[in-house]
Amino acid sequence: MDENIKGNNKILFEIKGIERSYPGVQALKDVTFNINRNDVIGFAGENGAGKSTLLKLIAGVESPDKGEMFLEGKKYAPQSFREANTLGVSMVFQEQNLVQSLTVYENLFLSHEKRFQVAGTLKKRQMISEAKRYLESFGLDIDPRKEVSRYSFHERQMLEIIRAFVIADMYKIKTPLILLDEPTAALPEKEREILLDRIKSFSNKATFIFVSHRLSELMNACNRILILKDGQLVGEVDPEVSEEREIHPLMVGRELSADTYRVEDQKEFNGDEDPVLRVRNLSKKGLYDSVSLEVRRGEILGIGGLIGSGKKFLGETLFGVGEPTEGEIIIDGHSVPKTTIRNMTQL
Amino acid sequence: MRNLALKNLLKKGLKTENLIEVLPYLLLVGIFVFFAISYPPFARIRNITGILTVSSVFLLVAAGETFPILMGSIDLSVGAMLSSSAIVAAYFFPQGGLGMIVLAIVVGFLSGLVNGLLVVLLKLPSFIVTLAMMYVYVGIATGLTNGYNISIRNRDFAWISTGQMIEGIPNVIIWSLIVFAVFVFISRKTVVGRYILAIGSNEESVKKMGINTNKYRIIAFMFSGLLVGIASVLLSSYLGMAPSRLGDKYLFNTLIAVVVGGTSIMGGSGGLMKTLIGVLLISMFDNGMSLIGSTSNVQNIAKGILLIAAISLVMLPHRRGRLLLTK
Amino acid sequence: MDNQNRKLKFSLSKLWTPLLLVVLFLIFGLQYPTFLSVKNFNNLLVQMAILLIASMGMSMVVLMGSIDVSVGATITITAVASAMVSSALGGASIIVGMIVGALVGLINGLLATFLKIPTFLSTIAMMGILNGTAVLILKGSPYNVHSESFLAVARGSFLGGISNLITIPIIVVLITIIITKKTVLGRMIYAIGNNEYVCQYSGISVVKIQTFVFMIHGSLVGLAGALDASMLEAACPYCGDTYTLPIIAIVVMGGIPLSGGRGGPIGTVLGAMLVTVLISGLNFMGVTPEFRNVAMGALIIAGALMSNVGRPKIITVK
Repeated sequence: MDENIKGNNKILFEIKGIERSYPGVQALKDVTFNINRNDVIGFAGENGAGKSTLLKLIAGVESPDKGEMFLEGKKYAPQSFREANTLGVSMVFQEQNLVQSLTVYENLFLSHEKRFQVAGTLKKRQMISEAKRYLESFGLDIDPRKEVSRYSFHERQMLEIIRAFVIADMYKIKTPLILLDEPTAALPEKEREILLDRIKSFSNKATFIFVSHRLSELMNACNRILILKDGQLVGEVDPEVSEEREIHPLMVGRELSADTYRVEDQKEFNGDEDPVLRVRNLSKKGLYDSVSLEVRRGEILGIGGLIGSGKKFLGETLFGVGEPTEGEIIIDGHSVPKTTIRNMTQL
Repeated sequence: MRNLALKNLLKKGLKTENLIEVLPYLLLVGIFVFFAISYPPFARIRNITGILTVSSVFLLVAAGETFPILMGSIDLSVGAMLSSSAIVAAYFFPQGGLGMIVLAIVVGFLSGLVNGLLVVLLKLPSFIVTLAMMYVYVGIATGLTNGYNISIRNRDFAWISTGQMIEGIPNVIIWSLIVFAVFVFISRKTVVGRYILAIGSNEESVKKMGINTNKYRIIAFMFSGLLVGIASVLLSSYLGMAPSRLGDKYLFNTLIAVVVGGTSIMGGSGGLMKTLIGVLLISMFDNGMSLIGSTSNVQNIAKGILLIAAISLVMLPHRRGRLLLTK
Repeated sequence: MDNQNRKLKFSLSKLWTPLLLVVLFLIFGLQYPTFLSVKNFNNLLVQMAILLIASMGMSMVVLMGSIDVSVGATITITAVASAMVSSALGGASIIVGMIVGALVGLINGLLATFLKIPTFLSTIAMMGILNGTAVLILKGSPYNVHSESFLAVARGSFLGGISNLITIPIIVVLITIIITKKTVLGRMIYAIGNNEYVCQYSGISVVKIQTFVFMIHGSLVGLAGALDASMLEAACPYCGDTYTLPIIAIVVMGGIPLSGGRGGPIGTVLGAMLVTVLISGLNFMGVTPEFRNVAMGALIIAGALMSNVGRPKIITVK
């Protein structure tokens, strides 16, 4: 039976009865499921449902209190992130795990340079050419000799994914298990799509677990979606068959409806009232430019934008962190001369 | 690496970051031109050779200091270790010779090791540990000799630094360049060197990858001590004696050379080649200032201001528009 | 380490300094009987004056999480400043010393807050600058003070016959206790030492407070420097350098961790007693100044370790 051929089993990873708690909260309770080779599994669930914790346990960053895990049929209980790496399990964190001052090829092989070492010195040319090989086979236009800091967030993310493959190859792992923790959270739309496409195209060489709060992405890229709620696995959904809205009730325990936003109760915008806060042509060199907005009493104004659009800096300025280089902030009809946190909070 | 900075400047134009990278080179050229014009004998071969000779020992000390700084730590005891290594070695081998050389290097190495162990095991800030150890090493040096220098009257020993294997070039320049080259190789081509840089850049990530950051921190301090130990041999040979009191000057100059050369005080960027530029800069500055007749105090004040300016430039990218710990 | 354990360890660690003080007293007292004489006691109090005054300011700086390595050089320069105007201003030169000290503090504060240079580096640079300036002004040789009214400050007593060198430090200690424990400024100092980020986001003007504290510290150091000039009847280049290590040792042995946020001036007083006794005892033993520095260095490391006890280990140390 082909199930007994190492590296060719259908089931790659098994989790049985995993539990994990922190002081005061049970993060995971009795989680059991299997992962098949080449799956792209999505974890869905609200904040606090346990997705990140589960990822950390699989990646070896932490250990479960109870339960067992099996990788390729063998007991899997890594004592460290690195040990998990050598077993073929890698994780791409939200805060990037690359060393900015080192070059691409150095990062790809970081802490696993043994085979390039001759009496402690590195065979750089060999490292560079191998790195090049990997980068090209994954279709990336990245020069391995450049410093990592020169590349964009999205490109660096790809490097972390490639590193997982590099390390897996080193330890003769056929199919690495790659965990991605909210990889799209910090990406603008175009890069998001590229990432999802890449995940799909790499899935014949690896197995992915992908956490995202955007269900549409999970529906797009995954072949199985596991839903977590309050630390428990409450269901599994096949994106080919189900629709997004079927997932919501499982995640939150109720159906999403227009009622959630209580559209009926919202006040109509009364154009007569003077705005409480008015911002005119606010600019801060290098961060944002000529922003104008108005907020009236009782309103909740949402400010949205892509990463790098400057919304965070705008918010910080309104709160009083640092001063704008140009423009005015007018509160209750009075222009605010100097924005310090003290001033702004008093206003 | 040098070309990269220049290339960037030409390609991306006068952006602040690129200007800052090229600044040390500009300063170097600027200082040279300034003194060459103000006092033409400055640029004569004889004087330049003199500058290079003096900076040879300095180069090794500054190179040693670069390793802890690359990691985000600091070693304030380098000047003191220079004295104590020389004194201890000369105390037991007043004739100089192989014994003195080996002992000086060993003492330097051990001092660095002690520094590293204290920082790592006691988990104390490196500036406090090395500040305290600085006084300990000075105490050792002056304690053994009651403040006197130990003269080494040995022609063979003196030849090490003052002899000339190549006509016109004091040996000390050659030895120090060889040692410097070895350590440049270590920092660029060995795992140790790359890890030291990596830890300074992103310690968290490096730790996650399972690399023992403590071990490499100790190694960085060991390199500092080792280089200082070697420097002490060259210095003693050049002076004909082991100096028991070097004062704060060495430390001050070393820190300036490293920082102005372009190595970030926060760790993670810079390197030995940048320190080389810094060393040349400070040596030329000191030499030129003396030639035009300024006293060492004006120099100190000017250098202190330069140090502050250099550090604040380095902190610039960290500062823009953000809140930052001011401790 | 859970909370109970930590608190216990912390309370125990506070015992080290007084314990060491007693031990040292015993050791030196048994070796050198004159050590315990009334005359020596007076000597100790006099020697402690300068250290104590300067350490009070330093305590506030370290409580904030900063440090001032230039404290010795500041003593030098303020001694020079007050000495040089002593012939004209007499006793009032003390104020001049304090003003110069406050200026130095202002510069240190601005370097830390505006240029965001880590204080251990900026104050090292300042140390070089201040020393260089002092040598420049003095042209390398000491400046002798002849003004009677200036010399009277150290010798005299403005309060009921008790030497100024006892009353002034006591007043400074009391002021520092009031500032750190009873005023809003004091609360903020502790807050900044504990968690600067939170302070910044809470609207506390960390910049203003840090600069202000450096200035207070500077003026106290200036007071110490002027007193030193008055005591020695001269100001000399590098004279204040011998104070740098002891002052740092005093503050850490007094229980204030280098990262700040914990401890207080009362602990510093104990630390000052300990260090003064140690220095005096070492002098009795006829030890060289370099050896004394070694002892100070070892004490600093020991003190830093001790005051770190019971801290939550979240801080990565470089």
